[in-house]
Amino acid sequence: MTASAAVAAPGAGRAALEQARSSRRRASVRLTALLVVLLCGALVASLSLGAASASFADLVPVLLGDADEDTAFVIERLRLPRATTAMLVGASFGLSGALFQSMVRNPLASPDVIGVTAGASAAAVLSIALLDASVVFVSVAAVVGAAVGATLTYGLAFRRGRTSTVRIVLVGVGVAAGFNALTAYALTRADIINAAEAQAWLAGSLNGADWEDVRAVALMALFVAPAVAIASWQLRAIELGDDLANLLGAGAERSRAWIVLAGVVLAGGATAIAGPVAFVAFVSAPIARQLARSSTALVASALVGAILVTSADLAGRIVFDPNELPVGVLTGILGAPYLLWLLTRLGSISAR
Amino acid sequence: MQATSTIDAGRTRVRLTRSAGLALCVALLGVAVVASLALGTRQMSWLTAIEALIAYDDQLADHIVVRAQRLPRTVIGVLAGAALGVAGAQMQGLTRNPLAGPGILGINAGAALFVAFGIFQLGMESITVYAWMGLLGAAVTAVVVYLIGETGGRSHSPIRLVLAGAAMTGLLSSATTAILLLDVATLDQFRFWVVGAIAGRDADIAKQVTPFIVVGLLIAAATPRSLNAIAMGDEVARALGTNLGRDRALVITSVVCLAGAATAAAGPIAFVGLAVPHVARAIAGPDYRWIVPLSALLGASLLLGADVVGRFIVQPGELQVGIVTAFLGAPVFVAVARSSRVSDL
Repeated sequence: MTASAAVAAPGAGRAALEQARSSRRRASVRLTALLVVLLCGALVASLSLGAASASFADLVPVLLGDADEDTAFVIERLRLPRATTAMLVGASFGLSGALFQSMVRNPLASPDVIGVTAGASAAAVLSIALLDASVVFVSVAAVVGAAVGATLTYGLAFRRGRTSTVRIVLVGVGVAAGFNALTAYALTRADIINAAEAQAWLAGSLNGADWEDVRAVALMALFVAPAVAIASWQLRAIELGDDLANLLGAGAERSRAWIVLAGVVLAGGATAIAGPVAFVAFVSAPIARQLARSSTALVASALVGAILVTSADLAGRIVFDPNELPVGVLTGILGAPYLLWLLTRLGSISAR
Repeated sequence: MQATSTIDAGRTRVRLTRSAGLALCVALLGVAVVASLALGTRQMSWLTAIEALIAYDDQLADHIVVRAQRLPRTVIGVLAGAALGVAGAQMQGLTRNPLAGPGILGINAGAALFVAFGIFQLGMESITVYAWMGLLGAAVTAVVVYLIGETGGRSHSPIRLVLAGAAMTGLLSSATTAILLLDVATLDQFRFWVVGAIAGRDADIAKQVTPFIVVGLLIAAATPRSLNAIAMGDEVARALGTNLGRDRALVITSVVCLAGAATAAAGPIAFVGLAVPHVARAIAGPDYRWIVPLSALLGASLLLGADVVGRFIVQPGELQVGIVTAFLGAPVFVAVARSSRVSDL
């Protein structure tokens, strides 16, 4: 009797484990489906709402190709590229935030932990405020700034051929502080017209996004996809800490390099297109984790980011009509209360 | 026997490092204070500067400059720097998060929003009024963050506080940005406040913020033991007999007084509170009875030193202390972060 119970127990345990696993998988599929539906809703709303006369009913003829010229122009040339850019930029920020937060095991982390945003902002604001530069020049400057910031942080975090999470985080704090001081300096030195323009860039805006921007973000996504795939593969091991990751054969140092590369390209590229859209990189991952109740939720983070930016851009366009508020103002105003509400509502909080 | 003597030797070494570090920090602050009194566009010897304090003669122009201009700004520099350093150390200890700073309760963002709103809607123009507005904004925000972060939800977790503070910061910064984009005139005033400066602060502002900072420091002096306990985790702290709810509330009160007053007096200077505690930790190890006073001394020295340097970099005029702090402090901080002594929380 006791013997048979002892034999039965492991089998029962395995079955329970299997059941728990499959129920978790089902929950994560359900969440992903829900987020995709929400994103589609936000996209359709972005295409059909706005100042011009194109409406929800006009969408179908435009997609079939037999709409009148004006409507087709508004939707195909103005709203569709803008909404697509919003979606891609949001997904990039959300994903990079999730990668960095998981890598350094700190919910306060964002792409700025490695100096990306601070570097991009400093370069862009310097070129706007002091050089009076064109839009394209500012974008290029932002990419260069992001690369410089990330390289400085990652490079300085090496010691005897190795990095560590603490060193990356702390060196990043220092590097970001230096760049932010540069930004503040440029803002106080510029004349007020340029300072206002720089402030608008810092808020992050999708105004005037066109198919060129979509192509740029899509190219970046294509380039970064393999790195993200490798990074997500190794993230779970890295999350356990360096020693355990090495023990599991994940190669902590190499894994970290992939994660940094993926996160930097995502955040840097998105910043160059839309400016440092406030808050998306920070807030997407915590919201996704709360919804998914799991420590890493990369896909959900990307979707939350995409939904947040798409709907924030829409709100900025239509709520204050005929004025327009930049997307970066609305991401904070929409995203923060939702996170605060989640925090007061839910009992348990997962750290990463 | 051998083991005991090794441990004793280790203890002696730690005590020596700490005492030497403390002495060095005191000396550093002394030099910074004298330099801040004596150096500037009007040059004088440090003896004259000290004379102006102890044997004031209102016939001498040098003495008047020291008393009327340099003394208030030096006092504010010392108070604000010490306050930010201590507040940062306390926040990092409380949340066990190396990325936490005094701003994590939303204090900087709250102060910034209130100041921006004050300029935009109420037409405020003087630094003294900014200070009151900033103090009010800091306090209101911190209370909201505390209520959501500490009392919301079913179970306590330092992450809730950290996330609530960061979310609040995001919300309020967005509102501030909206104001700045709507009104260029507000931006034109706000941009000089937001970089952080102690130039042009008079004795009134020093008198206004001193009580808050003194109260904050007094509470801070009473809490390092609790921070040491909290560092070991909530369960261990509770098992050691710490009243966690009360101690956390005390620490947060202290941080709000300190960081709120510092921001009110000098603008939102984030870097001091974020970086200084890590340097203090590298000197003294994980004991908050040492980290807190060292952070106070280092914070004051950094802010005051940066202010003095800022008087000379851009001629004519001055570079704001918030900018210089980061320019000077960041390389030093990166060097410390690269050293093997720096540790996780």
